[in-house]
Amino acid sequence: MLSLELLRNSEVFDGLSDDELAPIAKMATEASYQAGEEIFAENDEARYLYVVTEGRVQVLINVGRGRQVVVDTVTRDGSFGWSALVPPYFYTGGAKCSEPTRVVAIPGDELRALCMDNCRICHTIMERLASIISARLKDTRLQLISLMYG
Amino acid sequence: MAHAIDEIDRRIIALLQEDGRRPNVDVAAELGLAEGTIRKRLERLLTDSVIRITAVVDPARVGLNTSAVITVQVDLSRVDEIVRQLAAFPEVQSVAIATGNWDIILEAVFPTDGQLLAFLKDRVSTIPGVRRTETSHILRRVKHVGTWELPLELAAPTSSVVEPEMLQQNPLLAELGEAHIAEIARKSRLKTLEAGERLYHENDMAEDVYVVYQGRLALLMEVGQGRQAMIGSVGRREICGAAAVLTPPVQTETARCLERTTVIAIPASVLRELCLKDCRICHKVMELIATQVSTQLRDARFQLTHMLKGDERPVGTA
Amino acid sequence: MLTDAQRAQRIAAAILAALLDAPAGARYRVTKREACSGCPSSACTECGANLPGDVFIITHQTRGKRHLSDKAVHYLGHGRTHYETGYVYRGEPVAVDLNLAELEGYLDLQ
Repeated sequence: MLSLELLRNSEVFDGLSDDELAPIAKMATEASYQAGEEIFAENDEARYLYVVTEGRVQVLINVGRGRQVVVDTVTRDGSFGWSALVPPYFYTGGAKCSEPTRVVAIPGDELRALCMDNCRICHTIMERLASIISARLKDTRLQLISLMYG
Repeated sequence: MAHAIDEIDRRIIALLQEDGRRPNVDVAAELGLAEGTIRKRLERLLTDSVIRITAVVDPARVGLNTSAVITVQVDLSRVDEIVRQLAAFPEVQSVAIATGNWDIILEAVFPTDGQLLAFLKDRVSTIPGVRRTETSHILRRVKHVGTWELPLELAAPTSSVVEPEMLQQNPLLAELGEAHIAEIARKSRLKTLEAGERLYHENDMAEDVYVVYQGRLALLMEVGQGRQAMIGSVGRREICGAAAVLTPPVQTETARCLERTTVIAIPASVLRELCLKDCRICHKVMELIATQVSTQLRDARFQLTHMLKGDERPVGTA
Repeated sequence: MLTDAQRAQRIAAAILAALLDAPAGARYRVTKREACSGCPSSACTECGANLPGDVFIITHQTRGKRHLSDKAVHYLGHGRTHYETGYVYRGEPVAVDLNLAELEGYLDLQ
């Protein structure tokens, strides 16, 4: 079982007590990636929610002709892949490591099942997610604007 | 004193002014409310004498070709008895006591001028207390009180009660359950804004979450030098101002009405209170917001992609 | 030299005391978030006390926030660091092992 330490400081699980982190830690696995490695691609089925424990992950979207644009950068304690918890459960961007990275991967279906049974876990995570996604929305819009207006 | 009528009442009135016999079930369907709600409101409007349902006759179609406006000067100590008698005459369509040179103004219809003359000579002038009368022939009716439609902008907007059904129109809110919806409805209020008015500004402290009941709002962001770019819009049944329940509760965009719009303003404090009482609610509320915001994010990303696809210059890094 | 059980009890006592009144010159404070009506409650396996599911929040000036369930604080009061959460994962009950040194760090008890 993963140490609770790794999850405790993450932005998405902020507010959960050890009791609630323990089952999540049980379902989680750790993974390591090299610089330049892809974790998942845009439009892949969203199977996992990820927390970065070390390194740097870039979230990218395809803009045609094989080109990609960075829409988000996630570092330690940050999370990505939240589409695993929000319908329709497909990743809205690809995730690639820009340096050697370690992540914790939590299966979306198991986390959702845990949420169904436990309102506190669900509401804490959802509340954090809503704030995170909202911040991403603002950033994306600012990017859009800077493109439109130079 | 103005009776407290809200947006729903006004819409009911507008529909009944088109057709006073329109069934409650129809009105309910048109407004997206329950029949019971319409029935209850209509009863109140009738009991409070806000409206009256009646048949409006077109005099010309029943051979009453002479219409006149008659103004009467009277001995004011007898005015009550005089108006009572005038109102009792079947030819008289309306009687009013007024200020100015003339004390009473009335409208009446007759088959012929001869009968108008007889009316004045034999029935009006003979009433004790009537001093003088002046008569104007109506040459052509352009607009008649029976066909007057309540101008929504003029009628005093007073109460702004939110019916629970209005919240249920949003499918995710509906999942909160009747009791919670009723409580939220009780503490929310309706706000109506005209085209061009702003519901909130970017960087305002967000206090309410809004559900659009009808109309449409443009979402805008500052792009420097006082200019704003439209980044999206929200319409019926959609939510905006969700920042009110997030951290920090600061609006991330400006919302401006593209047309006359009515929104349901739900104070964030009400949602937070409910969330603390039962975290299942919080789960639902947050899921609702996460889904809504993630849809907007998807849209923003598509827009970004679309813009960049058309661009020849190399962009970003892989 | 304190035993582990004594250290655990000292931690619990510090938390409960700080909840009532922040100790003078302390670098932390303790607040409590009440359980909601939807949260499941449980009973202590040792003394049967009711544990509604409240959450204690220790906020330390430099270390930040630490959330502890009422279960955790209660079992610490019994001198224990190991307790069942009540969750079951793949048929196995999920338990928590509290790290005394880590918690002491939040309460300036080293």
